[in-house]
Amino acid sequence: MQSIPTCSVADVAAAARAQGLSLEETVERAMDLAGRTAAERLYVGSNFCSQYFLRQPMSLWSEAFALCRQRGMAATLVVPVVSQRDLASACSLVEELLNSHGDMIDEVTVNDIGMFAHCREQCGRPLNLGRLFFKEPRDPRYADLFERRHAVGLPAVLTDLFSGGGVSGIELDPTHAALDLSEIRGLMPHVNVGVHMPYCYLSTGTICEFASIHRPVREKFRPNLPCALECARCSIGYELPYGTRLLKWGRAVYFPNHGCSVCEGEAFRMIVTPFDVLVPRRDSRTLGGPTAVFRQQGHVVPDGATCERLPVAAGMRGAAGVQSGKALIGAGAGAPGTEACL
Amino acid sequence: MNTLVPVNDRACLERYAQAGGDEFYVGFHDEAWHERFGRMADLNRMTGFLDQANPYSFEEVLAIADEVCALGKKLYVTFNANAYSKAQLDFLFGYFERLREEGAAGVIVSVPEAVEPAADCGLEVVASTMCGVYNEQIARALQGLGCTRVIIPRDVGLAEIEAIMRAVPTLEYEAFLMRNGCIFSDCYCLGRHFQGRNALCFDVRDVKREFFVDDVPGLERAVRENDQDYGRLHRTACGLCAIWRLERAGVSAAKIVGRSDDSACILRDIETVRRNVAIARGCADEQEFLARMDVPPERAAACADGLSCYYPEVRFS
Repeated sequence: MQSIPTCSVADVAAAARAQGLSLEETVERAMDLAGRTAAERLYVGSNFCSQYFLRQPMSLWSEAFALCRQRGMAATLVVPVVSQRDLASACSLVEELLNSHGDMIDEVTVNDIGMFAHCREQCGRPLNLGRLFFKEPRDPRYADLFERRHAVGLPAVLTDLFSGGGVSGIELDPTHAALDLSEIRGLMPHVNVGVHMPYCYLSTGTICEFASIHRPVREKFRPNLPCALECARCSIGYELPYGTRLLKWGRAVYFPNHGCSVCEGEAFRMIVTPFDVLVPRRDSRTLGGPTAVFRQQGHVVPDGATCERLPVAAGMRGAAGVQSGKALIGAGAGAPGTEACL
Repeated sequence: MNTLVPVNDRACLERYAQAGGDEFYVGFHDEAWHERFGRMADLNRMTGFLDQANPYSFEEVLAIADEVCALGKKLYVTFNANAYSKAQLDFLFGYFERLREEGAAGVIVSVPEAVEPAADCGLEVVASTMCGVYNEQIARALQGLGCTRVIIPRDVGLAEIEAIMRAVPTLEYEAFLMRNGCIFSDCYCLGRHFQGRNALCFDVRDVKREFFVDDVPGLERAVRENDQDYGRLHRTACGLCAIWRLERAGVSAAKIVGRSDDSACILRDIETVRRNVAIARGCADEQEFLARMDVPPERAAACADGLSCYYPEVRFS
């Protein structure tokens, strides 16, 4: 099965700039790590944070769309769930971007039913349902939940809520060791399916740890706190006792899933976010470790045949700091080598 | 503003009502659900906590609905799992019909696609915090589907609550007030809840971590210190100071969380909320309320730095 290589700089473009990387370099490195030579589409904006969406410098938006023009890539505008205070500004920004870069933006990804209704009326572009619409069970702390081939069912939100149409694509996360898209592709061949790689979103919220860095304690951790994009300069890796690794980037927490296989069905979009370019890669040890958590007997180890997965790039396995401009601080520095999920 | 109370102990229903509980909510477990969809399938967000959070079967909840009706109060039954498949939604419909027959006032649903089936049964439909009502667009869309009330997520500030309510005044609103804060969004946190295991929000604060920080003078230290404060955020939560503003905004119900908590604590919280709602109704302005309000000693200890506040902006603007 073929995947269509695409790249997402949503939520991370500002960090690339802070590290002195152009978006062109960032995309090139990300696709190289994914084993692809080029991306056919660029996702720009934010999946998770209305502050990021509004505060990403206009020069970065322009750089992204200029890159699309130069490389012949289409652009997807990604709109997060927007807090009430930012709603009017966010809608204005969407309109402004569509007016000024409408030749490049050929679709919009939304993440809630309110913005879907707004964009359906106002944007005149095909709409994707973003990753926050799909809450497929996931939690890498539980091996028997994770280590399986997960058949992605037809989301009820599509059959019941959007059965009248209006959805041109959906975006999924690499929730399990393997994803089987055959059902969804078979029943909805007209819908573009994208799978975010190589990190799976696990949690998010409107309280941003990083936005509070320079505030007194009594003003910290308020919902949707105005920020200075502190997330462009810091992130946190977590090592859980039973081998699971997590990454907090901005408002969201992810788990690495570089070994995820996508099986069956028609072509899908592989949406690569360049976290591995920006922070040292840390893989989880979910399977086989002495403390791995198996809640039930009889878990199924996935069959990787006929599947596509991201390659584990040479020199990347467990290597701290490879191709990353981040200083590595903390007890985990120089941690022992890790291994891919499978 | 009504006080909304969890039915964590059926034997306490009457005492809760006498203390000032106006509305009740409950979840349940059902073997038929698990036989059909498997052990891992959540019927509500706390299914993984087993009997600790959902001590009653569906049949018992039907009886509880009857008891709550007899007390002249309302019962809402929660169906707030992260997601439901099409087959699961169809299965829920059977619950909805029986709940309506037994006198439940409504259901609390977590996904927009469950709203219409519940409304068709004649139930009041409450959009759970799992619906992520972060702005008026989302509130309006849910109302269009048939919701009569929305629960504002706990990570929304007072000014934004007030703005949403002004923008969509024909909905009822429910706000978090007591117990169990969270650093993540209920709606968008997909970490599983299992009995005997940490929730994700605790795991990420109590484990080994490494900080990836740009080479900026002083930034590393600031990030570390900030992270220590973050570790103290919402270990518990209280919103008593916001009662005057919530009441004035027209919030219909103040939610006391705690389906798996101790009954004595719930009872104490009901009494505290009722006492402070009464005080708020006699105050001319917020400042008078803040001067007169009654903060229990066990809560006051956590008030110092705002990290245990649902609405810290009231005291620490």
